[in-house]
Amino acid sequence: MNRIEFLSILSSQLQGFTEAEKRDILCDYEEHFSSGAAEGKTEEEICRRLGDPAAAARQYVEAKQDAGRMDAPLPSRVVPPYRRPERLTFGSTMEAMRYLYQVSTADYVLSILLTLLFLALEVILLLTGASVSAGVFFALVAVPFVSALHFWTGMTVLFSLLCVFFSGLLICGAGAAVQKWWYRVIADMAERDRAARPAQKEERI
Amino acid sequence: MNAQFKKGVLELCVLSLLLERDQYGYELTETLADKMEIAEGTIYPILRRLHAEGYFSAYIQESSGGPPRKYYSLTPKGRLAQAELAADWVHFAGQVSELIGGAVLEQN
Repeated sequence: MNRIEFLSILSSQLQGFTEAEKRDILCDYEEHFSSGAAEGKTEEEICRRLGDPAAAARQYVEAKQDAGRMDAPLPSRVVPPYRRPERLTFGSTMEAMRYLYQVSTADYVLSILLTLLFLALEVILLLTGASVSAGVFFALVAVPFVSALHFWTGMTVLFSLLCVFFSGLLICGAGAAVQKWWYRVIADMAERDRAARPAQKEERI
Repeated sequence: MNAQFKKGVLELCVLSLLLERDQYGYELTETLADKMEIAEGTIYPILRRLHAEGYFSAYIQESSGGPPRKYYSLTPKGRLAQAELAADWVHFAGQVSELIGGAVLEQN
């Protein structure tokens, strides 16, 4: 088989592809033949190594069909059912955590809702000056944040977790500052109250 | 080599090769065909699909004494996929080895 035969068989088997798509596919093989020729291979040898053009065409067709089937409005992954482990080991605990993580992030809608709920709780904790609780809460419960970072930026899970942990520490610090300010406000109010009262006592006397 | 094994693992092999450095189609097919008994023609559909799904980006580079070549480069999504697939493979291979090991021991 020579180059022309290979390419024409491949092209004829690409059912349902536009001209532009076919050209794109054939371009890859043209490049392959050129590179092979530059290395001194004959067209027969290149064809032999490439294999059956009809088989390659089938792969393109299957890939196109699979791609068509996977067009969904909201991307969500299917999570397989959970199987309880026989014994409680470190590995099985990790497996359970991994499953929890998958479930909470399998659906983008669920992920967003959890993130909003979590943010609301975090803001409440922070405003009441519960700095340590806010920090720890953030660091432990930020699974939706980790999943968001993980999927939207491609960062590794470990790196996302580290980001979340240190953000938790920062929030702890911010919470401590809020606490200090809040106590100062209350102390000032109490001070003004005390300063005002002796003046009132004197007036009555 | 069993056809079913090859099919599942070719993606991982392609992603892993590109992890080392950017390569063009011919390079990838030659490397893979050297290491495994596969038809080089089966690799281009995989490259096309992975490119379309955003695991690589592609750029054209002139080459000395040849046509301009299309190089593939892993995206962050591609790196993530490589890491996950590699971990899955190691896990799976471990499980299979255990099962085979048991059967071999029984035969002896």
